[in-house]
Amino acid sequence: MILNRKPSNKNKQVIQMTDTQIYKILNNNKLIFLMLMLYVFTQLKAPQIGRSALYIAKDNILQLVMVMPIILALTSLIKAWVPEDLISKNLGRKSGVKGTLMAFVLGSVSAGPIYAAFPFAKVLLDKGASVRNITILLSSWAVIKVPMLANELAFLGPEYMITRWCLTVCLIFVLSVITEKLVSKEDILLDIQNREEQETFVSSSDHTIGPSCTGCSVCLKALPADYDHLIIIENKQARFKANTDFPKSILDTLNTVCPRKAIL
Amino acid sequence: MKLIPMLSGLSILSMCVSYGMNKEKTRSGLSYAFNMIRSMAGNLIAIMLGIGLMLAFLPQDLLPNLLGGNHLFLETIGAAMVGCMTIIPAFAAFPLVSSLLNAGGHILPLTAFLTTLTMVGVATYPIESATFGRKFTLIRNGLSFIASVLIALLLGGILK
Repeated sequence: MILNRKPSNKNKQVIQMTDTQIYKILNNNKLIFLMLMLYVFTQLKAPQIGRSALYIAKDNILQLVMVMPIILALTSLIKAWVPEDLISKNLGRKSGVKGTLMAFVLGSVSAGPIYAAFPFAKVLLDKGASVRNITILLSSWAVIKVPMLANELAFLGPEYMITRWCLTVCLIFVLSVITEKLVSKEDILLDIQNREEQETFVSSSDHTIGPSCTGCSVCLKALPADYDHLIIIENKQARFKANTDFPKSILDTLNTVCPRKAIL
Repeated sequence: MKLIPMLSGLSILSMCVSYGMNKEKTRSGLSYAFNMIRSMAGNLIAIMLGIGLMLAFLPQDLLPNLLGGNHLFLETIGAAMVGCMTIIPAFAAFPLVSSLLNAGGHILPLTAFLTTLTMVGVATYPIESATFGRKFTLIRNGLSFIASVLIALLLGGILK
């Protein structure tokens, strides 16, 4: 069932394809197979259009490949050298300018998708971070990723990138001040409390994670702190911890974040 | 454009320095980044192919008419709304926007699209409201929408 990847037989790795494996490969790359089929079709029916489509795509892909080393380096350097607890230490108090600045920096240097920011920001809020700093953290996490700036630079030029960056930072600040005026911390806590009272629970034995899972661990990042052992990943396949009850909202969250839609 | 090769050189250099300082940390960081890119690569290439196909099929004068700046404000709001609902990785958004610009789109609506795409999350609304409640989520996303349109308008004014 599972590809054997022991280093000892790397040279004579015999790949035996079973039906599930073929299904897995097809399913994991269905978008690209669909596109290839469309291209072949276009090439047959309208070669002129096919050629110009290929030309545009080739340009973009090449440019993307060119910035990849920068993105790779920035992401790995951030992951390697930004300490994970830097964050909670500096946002937790009634922090003035320093806290605001930290929120911006943290959001921008974070590696990972926005839904990884939610559980994390929630912990910070519980530890005493202000609504304003949380708003800044979430917004800058979404918009101003440092590795993404390299991408923007390559495709849209330095002038555009710098102007948009400055405007975004200013407006996120304004937005966070307004949000803090409109929403108090009690509002948030009350909202969540109401939600928890209505919460229904489901059992992990009623749900499985399908074979299209690649073990990408996106789901782990989206799990709230109290449920971080709910999913176990082994051999590039995730599964639920047996016989555990958990809120239905977590299941919905997992369904939204899973890139393979493997949660069944 | 010499900036990209220069920055590439700088990145490689800093990776070497980082490796010299701490092999383990650098290696685990690199493998994280590598996995991230590998998990996106297939879809990213597919989206690029899709953009190419879409642009080749669209009639030449459609984009200038639709996003060319004839009704700038309406186009900006419209593009911002499309950005809220579109689910493509931000990675693929920059090539898309640059292709649309070349095909005759105006910079204002395209900037609004780019900003709402990442800042306003309709798809992630259920998760965000489960974590922070409905009020906070609605207000943050609503204000982000307004901010995105403002960013586009200001950027248009500055880069004139």
